Amino acid sequence: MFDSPVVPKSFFMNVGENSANIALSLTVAKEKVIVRITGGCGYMSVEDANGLYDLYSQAFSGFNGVMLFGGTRMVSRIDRNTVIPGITEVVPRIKHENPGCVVLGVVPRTEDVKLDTTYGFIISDDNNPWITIPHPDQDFFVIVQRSVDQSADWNDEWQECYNVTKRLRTYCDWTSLLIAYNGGGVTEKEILTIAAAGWPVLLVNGGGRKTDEYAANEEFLAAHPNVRVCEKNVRDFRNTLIEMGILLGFRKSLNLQVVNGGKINLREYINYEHNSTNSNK
Amino acid sequence: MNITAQTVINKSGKVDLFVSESSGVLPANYMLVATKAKSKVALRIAGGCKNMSEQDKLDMLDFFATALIGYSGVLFSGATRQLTADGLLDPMVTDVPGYVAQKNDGIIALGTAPRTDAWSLQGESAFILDGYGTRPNPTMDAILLVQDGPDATLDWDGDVPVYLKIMESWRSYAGFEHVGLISWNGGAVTEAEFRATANRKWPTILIQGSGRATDDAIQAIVGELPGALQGDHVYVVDKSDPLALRQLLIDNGFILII
Repeated sequence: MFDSPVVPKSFFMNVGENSANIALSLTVAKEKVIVRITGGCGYMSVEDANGLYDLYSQAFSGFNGVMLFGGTRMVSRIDRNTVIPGITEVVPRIKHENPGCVVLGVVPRTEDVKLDTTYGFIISDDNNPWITIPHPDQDFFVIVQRSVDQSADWNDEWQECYNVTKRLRTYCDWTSLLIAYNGGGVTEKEILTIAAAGWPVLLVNGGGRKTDEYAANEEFLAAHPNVRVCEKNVRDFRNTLIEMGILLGFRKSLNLQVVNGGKINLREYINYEHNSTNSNK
Repeated sequence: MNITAQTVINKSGKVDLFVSESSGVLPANYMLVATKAKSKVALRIAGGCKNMSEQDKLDMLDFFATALIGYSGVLFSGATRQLTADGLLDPMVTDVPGYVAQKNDGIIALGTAPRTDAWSLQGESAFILDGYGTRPNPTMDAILLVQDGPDATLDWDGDVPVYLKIMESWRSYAGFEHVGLISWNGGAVTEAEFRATANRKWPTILIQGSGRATDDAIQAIVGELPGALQGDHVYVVDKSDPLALRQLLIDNGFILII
């Protein structure tokens, strides 16, 4: 017998369908805030990946809303326990440290999926050194396709995230935020669509490519006051999230980097921060 | 503002209208409105007001208003409103959610109704649901109208399978801790409704003395007749005792006392 791979609860839907049950499942989050994490960071080193994971994990400490992301994990074709670094590792780590948040992966079916005795549910198995599977550390994921015979494309992922977010914003008064880091043409389309809708967008500057392009585009920023830019460091990222109402109950910190002699014990600090906020109410 | 029986008087100042096919996908947006309720519980008020006097109907509203003090979940019923020949309110069970919602913070009042006839605009563009002057109830937060395609019509039970599925989804996916039904008076459709919730083992509360199908079901229980509702999730409360209903709702987690 082999160890059974973990596959979270899953839904399947065609582009254009509305799912009541997926939308309702998100509403069990403690707070009515939905954050979509988008962008890319292909081929980054393990060190760079760890820095990115820490950046997001620390910035989002105490988050209790919903997160939408790509929903996949890349694992080595040689050893299924070797994870290939990628931006889709960011959200499950936030979930691990913040059990009150709810995580939905939106996975476009860009090719035929299959079941495998070693890897379980395989999303993508082309000729790369890795295999793409549903990320095991998410509450649930939805496979999106055009039809049984027609695959999805990468734009379908963010468009479904847009649909879910719009529904929660319109019909049950949720706050939303799109966070972009790095990324190429698909990320660019998502940034432009959400910016044009007037919904909050946060560009994390310093990761490169399209996000940095728009973070430096003064004309774009002036035309879209709903788009904010933060630098790629925990203090600025977290403070911006607090200012934008994503971390409810926390207050902006000016001294984050000097706690514990310059090395942050963020869990202790967050508790202090939260208690201070509550005592000031 | 001069408030009449046609005035929208909920807190948002508008009633969101949704249309769904009886055999189609669940109405996601309508179902999400329910999650705005302060508490994740839902009560369906089923029944009718046939053979009830004007005073009986007013007493019915007060019965529910007293029993539901402090309730802050979803109140769910049929979605219609009837006016008298003089254009005044003719209270029905479908007025209970909006009436109670006005007296308590946090309630979301929702309604469903089948399309039993062609819809029309009449007079000052009043939206009329049938040939009897039935209107959408303007005290609801949102209303779901269920149809069987653009041309066919449904019977008055046409929305029942849809609203039961909706309640199931609230419970299974949206974290609603308790869903249940209170039955007042009513006929064959009401009987189908309370049997459906009792079969699902949801709290099903029959109001004794309210009349017709509800009282018939109570008589069957008392007389241990064949087909009588059974189970410790089926309750009987007398209509003279709203506080007994209130206690029952507290005991079953529908009203939280802090």
